Amino acid sequence: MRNVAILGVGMTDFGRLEDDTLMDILSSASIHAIDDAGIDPKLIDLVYVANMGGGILNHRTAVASGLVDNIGLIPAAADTIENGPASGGSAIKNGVMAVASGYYDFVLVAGGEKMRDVSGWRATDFVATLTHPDAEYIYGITLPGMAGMFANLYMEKYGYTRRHLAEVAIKNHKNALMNPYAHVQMDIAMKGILDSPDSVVNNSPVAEPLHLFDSCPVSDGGAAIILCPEDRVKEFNKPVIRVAGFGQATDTLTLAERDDPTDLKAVTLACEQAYKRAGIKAKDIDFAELHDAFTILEIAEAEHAGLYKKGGYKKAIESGDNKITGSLPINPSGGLKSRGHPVGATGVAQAVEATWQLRGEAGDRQVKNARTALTLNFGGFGNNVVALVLRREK
Amino acid sequence: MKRKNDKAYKCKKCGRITYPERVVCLNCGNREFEIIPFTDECTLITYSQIFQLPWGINDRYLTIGVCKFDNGIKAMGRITTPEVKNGMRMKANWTLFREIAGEDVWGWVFEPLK
Repeated sequence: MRNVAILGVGMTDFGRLEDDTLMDILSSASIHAIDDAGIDPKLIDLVYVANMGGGILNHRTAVASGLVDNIGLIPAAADTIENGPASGGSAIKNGVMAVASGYYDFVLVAGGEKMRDVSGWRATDFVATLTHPDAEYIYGITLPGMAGMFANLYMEKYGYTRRHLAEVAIKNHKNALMNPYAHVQMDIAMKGILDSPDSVVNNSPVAEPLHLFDSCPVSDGGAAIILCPEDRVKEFNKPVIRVAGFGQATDTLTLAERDDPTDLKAVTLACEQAYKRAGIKAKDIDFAELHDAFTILEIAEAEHAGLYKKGGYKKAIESGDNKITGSLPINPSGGLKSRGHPVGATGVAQAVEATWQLRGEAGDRQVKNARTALTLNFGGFGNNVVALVLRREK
Repeated sequence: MKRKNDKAYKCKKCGRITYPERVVCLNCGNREFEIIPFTDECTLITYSQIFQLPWGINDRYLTIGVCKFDNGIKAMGRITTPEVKNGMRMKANWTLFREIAGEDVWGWVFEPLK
């Protein structure tokens, strides 16, 4: 098996991209990645596109076929990967395996979503279609609702409060202020979202105990990377960012069937696989991009990834250890909470951010001495999870 | 549309309870199950009062939770009131509770035991 590196990365702005179609978004992100790599597009022999909602939201299917046509990559092989909110991580994993195996050399992985074509009401329903159709969806459950039920138990079990959740939101909003691609560019404070009478209006409940500022926005956006054999990177005069390990694991579709609903087993298993393949331990991670679709998930994922013991993340929140200036920064990009969450793009955007950080190209939000990164892409409500370990090689 | 949410199953080999139905037991890989009844009462494991609801639902909010029936079956359902707590004893009602695209939808509606 060959070592695989990320040669180029690119993103669109995340937010409400009114003038762009899904194909515009995927194309723009891909062109940015191709230009960043400095690669002749004719060398790209495989394309994976991560997208969850093209068919439902945009009346557009087979988007990988459309992308290679639109950006001149014919006759490259092209596949669309749909794995819910973990589509991006899944597409990268498949791209890594394609290069590692020797079947393909230069792989474009693009993720994109155009969610704001429909109302929030419709977008909420679209995401809810990933729940069990007969045992969950029929009741009107939403992903925020699943997260609310999870938070209810997790907070009770490990002693978290709404103040801890709010601190996560405040941190990620501050990080996003330094990310020009982020959807939500808004500084928030405890007074505005928790500690004043106005907070009742500013921070209305979404799914108790989670409120507006515990939740990611509904976003449009795209992200893309170019993968290649590590020994070809020197031809392009780029730093070597190796995909040192990946892991993927699944869990029961219904939350009710889990022995302990607070145990995100798939997160733990995916991370353990990724660490093992990378030959590292959790303590070797310098920073992480976690799937904080809700603030409670940043907490629970950090703990299930082995970065902190169960209940231990509250110390990082209280000490600021999880900030960009701390010893283990979490979501320096602003995370899903503030960078945004165009579902098919998210896993790829995490890898883009990690690459910028590992190259030292993250501007004001640069994590110092970053060499090893974890990205965690959380599908469903933890029933399909992809973890990647990226490392800058000397 | 046939909804597969009206029966719970117990693996004939290892006894693991499965709800809703699946083809293969997650615990032992066996493919043979027996149907088991739901009990009238259950215990609330967790819940959320949900305000931002999906397309097709016109309520101001819904309270949805997961309950464990007294024989071990676990299921999601609607709850009649947000005035509940984890661990509360509940009465389980199999009820026609909504319509989706003209289809009657039956499912679990839980209410606190009086």
